[in-house]
Amino acid sequence: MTEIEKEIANYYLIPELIWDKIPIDTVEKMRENLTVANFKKDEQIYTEGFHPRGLYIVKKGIAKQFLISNEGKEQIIYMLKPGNMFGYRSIVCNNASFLHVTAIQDCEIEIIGKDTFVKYFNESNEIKLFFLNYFGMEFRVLFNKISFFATKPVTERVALTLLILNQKFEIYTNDKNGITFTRTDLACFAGTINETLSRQLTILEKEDIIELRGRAILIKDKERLFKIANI
Amino acid sequence: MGKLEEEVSNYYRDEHPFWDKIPSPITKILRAQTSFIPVKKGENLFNEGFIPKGVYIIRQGILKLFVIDAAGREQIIFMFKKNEIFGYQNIITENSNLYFVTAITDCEVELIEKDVFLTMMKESSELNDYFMKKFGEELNTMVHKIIFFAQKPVNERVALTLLALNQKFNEPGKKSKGVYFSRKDVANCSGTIIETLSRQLKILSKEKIVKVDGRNIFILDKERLFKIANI
Repeated sequence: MTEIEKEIANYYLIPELIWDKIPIDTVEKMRENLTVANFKKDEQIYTEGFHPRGLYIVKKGIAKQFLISNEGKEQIIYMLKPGNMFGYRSIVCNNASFLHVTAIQDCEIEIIGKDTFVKYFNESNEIKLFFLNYFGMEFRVLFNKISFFATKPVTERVALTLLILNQKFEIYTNDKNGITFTRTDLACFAGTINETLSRQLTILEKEDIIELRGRAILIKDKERLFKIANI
Repeated sequence: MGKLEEEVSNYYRDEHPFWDKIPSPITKILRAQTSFIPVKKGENLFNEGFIPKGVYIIRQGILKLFVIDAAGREQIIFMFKKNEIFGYQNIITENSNLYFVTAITDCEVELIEKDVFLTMMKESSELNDYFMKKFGEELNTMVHKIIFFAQKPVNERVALTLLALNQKFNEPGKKSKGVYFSRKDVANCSGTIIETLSRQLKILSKEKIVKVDGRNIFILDKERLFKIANI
């Protein structure tokens, strides 16, 4: 990772597979009770007020985790890719989720049922430590996001959004077409509206920093985009 | 707590005393290793870029946790009061902190040294469970802060800041002191500048929603302020 990439990596959750971090016999026992669920593109995985059925691990596809404001506007907190997890916080804190999770591509999700999860969570120090560490990483990401939204104008928000999503998803999608999220999702991630996002994209294209190919956005000059993001 | 107060409470933390929640054998060991630090008003407890010395527990007083933006402006992310705990988030992941913490009144703070804390976390599953749950709840509050800064226009941010500071820093059953922080601190909590805050306060005063009395801001019509906050 270059210096720029390291900076950007402070703004998203790098997937870390739980299976790699806990003893193999615990892995095997936990996986005995694992179910796999498939979700179609745009299908809701869960909604606000729902008690997650367990620990969810993205196996294939991309999902978004978001809040809905009073006006019905989405604020995307995380874009999830294979290896990312969700649902655990509601179980640990014993509350209903206030986040929504929706598939934005066809998704395959592994679910470790709540009872199994809680049982092994309570028995295994390694699992606890794993999640404590994961919370620590989340703290860093959320904290960075808060201070970013609190202090940065829209130009910088859009630039950082492009850098984050490009870096997080480029290896996975492995296509040369760059970022292919919908404009609405990009706006909801950056905390702006479609019209403002489009205006910013047009400016960036004119400056030859990005290239727009239909829905795809190709970053041509990462250095300059990074300068604009001003992190 | 009414429904309105409950909604507002999603945006700040209010903790029970730490020592009451931990079984007494562990309390005994930790207490023996806990030092007590008086912090004067205006004093910096820690600066950005350091790994905290340990876990800080506020026994008395108010502190602010903030970041400084590229223009040198302060942005307050959390206002801490009695019983709140900080520093542990960075110790768990061995990350340097990304923020400053400064006392805004004379404070008394307890410090559990890092090594002691980490050792006890490994040995005591009760302590581990306590921090796990607390960490999760704190991340939930942070997710709400993202929507606050990413989506809310300034009038809504000011209204919500007033509601939250009023609710958090007045003791139930006692005579309300209203919001009694400096204008600069209230502005920095709302993600705006003093001039804009003053303009918003003037509008709210005219509408008889708040009453400004010197430094104190009293809420006259909570329902209407809540409507403006739009949460």
